[in-house]
Amino acid sequence: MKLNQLTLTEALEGLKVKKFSSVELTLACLDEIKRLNPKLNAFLTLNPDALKAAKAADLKIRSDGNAFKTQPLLGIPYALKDNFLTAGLKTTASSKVLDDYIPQYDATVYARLKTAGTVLLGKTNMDAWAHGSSTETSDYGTTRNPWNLNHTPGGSSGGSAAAVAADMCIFAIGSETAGSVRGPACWCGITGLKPTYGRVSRYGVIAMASSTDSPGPLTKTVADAARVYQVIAGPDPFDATTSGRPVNLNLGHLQGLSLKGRRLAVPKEYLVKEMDKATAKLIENALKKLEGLGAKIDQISLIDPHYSIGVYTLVQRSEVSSNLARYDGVRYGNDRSHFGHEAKNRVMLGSFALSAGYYDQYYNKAQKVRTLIIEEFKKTFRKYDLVIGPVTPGPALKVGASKDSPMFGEIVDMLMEPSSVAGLTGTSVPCGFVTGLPVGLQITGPQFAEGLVLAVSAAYQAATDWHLKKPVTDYA
Amino acid sequence: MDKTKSKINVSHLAELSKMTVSPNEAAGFKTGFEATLKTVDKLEQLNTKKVGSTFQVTGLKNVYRPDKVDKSRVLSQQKALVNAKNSHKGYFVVPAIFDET
Repeated sequence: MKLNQLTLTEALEGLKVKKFSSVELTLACLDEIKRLNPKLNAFLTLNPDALKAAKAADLKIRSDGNAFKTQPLLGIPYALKDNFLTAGLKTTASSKVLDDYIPQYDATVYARLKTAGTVLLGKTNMDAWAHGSSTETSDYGTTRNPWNLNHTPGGSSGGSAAAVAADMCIFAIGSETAGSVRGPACWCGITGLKPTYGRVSRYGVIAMASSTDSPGPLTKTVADAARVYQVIAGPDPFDATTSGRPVNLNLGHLQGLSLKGRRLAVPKEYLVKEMDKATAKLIENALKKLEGLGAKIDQISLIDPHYSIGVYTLVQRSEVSSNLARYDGVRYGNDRSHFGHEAKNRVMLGSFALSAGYYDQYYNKAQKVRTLIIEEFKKTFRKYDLVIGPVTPGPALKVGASKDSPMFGEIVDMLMEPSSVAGLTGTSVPCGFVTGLPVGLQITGPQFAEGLVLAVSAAYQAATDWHLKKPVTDYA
Repeated sequence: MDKTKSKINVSHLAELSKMTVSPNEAAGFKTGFEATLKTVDKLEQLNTKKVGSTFQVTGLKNVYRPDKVDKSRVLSQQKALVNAKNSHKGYFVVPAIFDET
């Protein structure tokens, strides 16, 4: 096995016992990026200082026996979505508006990962401004799915997901507004964690919809996601919407949780009419597996997720119209004539939904239905530990599928929109393949239940081997 | 649908949003907006008469910080200007709002 193929947990073990160095690990990733990026287009910018950071990590490992206690991710090479600000390193959010933008400060997530000793490999491709679910709206070309180059990796964190699936890095960071971590994780056959809204700081993340944006890890296993989450989560004085609650995640308790008596709910409405039959069968198998592990699964009824499309579309476009108003090309970046089609689409409709005369009919109505969705989840979590179901109605779509579909992203992400507008936490974990393309199981918990969500996801992963499958990347 | 159709004025929305939209693009946007509004109009089917609006999900109220300058986050004038395409004597040059005549 090549070093770049290691999980985060395995890589840490190897570095700790000095089986290999961070420089060797980083070089293995950089070699794979060099080999695969022309095919996958996962990375937009490489960090010229990656090897320098790896050398510094090696020095620390050699000289300080307690190095990993203070720097839990020391020497680990990773990829960062291109909407996280990195001082001195170009950050574009995949838009030509920010084609030459060099941030003057760091996003909190990036700063925390740096403090934890990580090695930044580079910045990954995404849908421009995170507007999309396929990376097709990127101004720098579509990222390809490592399992089949004719398919999209999902989005908006598609570059990060493809980079992890193709072993171009040990882990990656994405951000989710409604499905942008869990969706690409599902379509690329890896693990994605969307933390509770307000659990991970948005400071220095180029905003999409501020009331739902949630940065999160994309990893090879659930245990890896927990390790990254532990570093990036927690209160941040620079983001007033972060929760002051301490992060109580015990990595030791994560493995070996008994599912006996755990109450899991499957909303029957989530098996939508658009659902692919083979995907539905895989979800059914996953439920049986969890039942076999002792979980008690009931079918329940929730608001049809088709309504969430309307809620999410209105809330998101309204917030997008406000967030993108600041880009005028005066202090940084290019002027507004550089906005692409999808940004124009969202900003204009958002402006419409917020206009005098339409505000109550559209924006306010959506925020009321949002309340209904939240109340329903609260009621459900009084009786059940977690809600489970499919992540997407089917496996990765072909490149080009989003063309001429003004609501492509919202429809693809409909099964993740309810939990996103409610600010809940959830994972996507691999649960099988349809025509060679991976499919994921969605596990959702109440706010701040990351510990339980991760433990149940880990229990599922311990009993299955879907997450161990790798795409064949010797493309012609 | 006819009611919705009459609401959409793409050139007005483009002006409000300060977006450049060509006549060709405008026709496509109009069709797209109408389709989107048709989907979101389905929310009318849900009764929200006695339901309040949710604008944020954290439940946090009045988050304060000390009224002190955080020097670690202050950009020097020179650093603040590094990304500006047009600056003059240490200031950002902004487009004129008033007509000079």
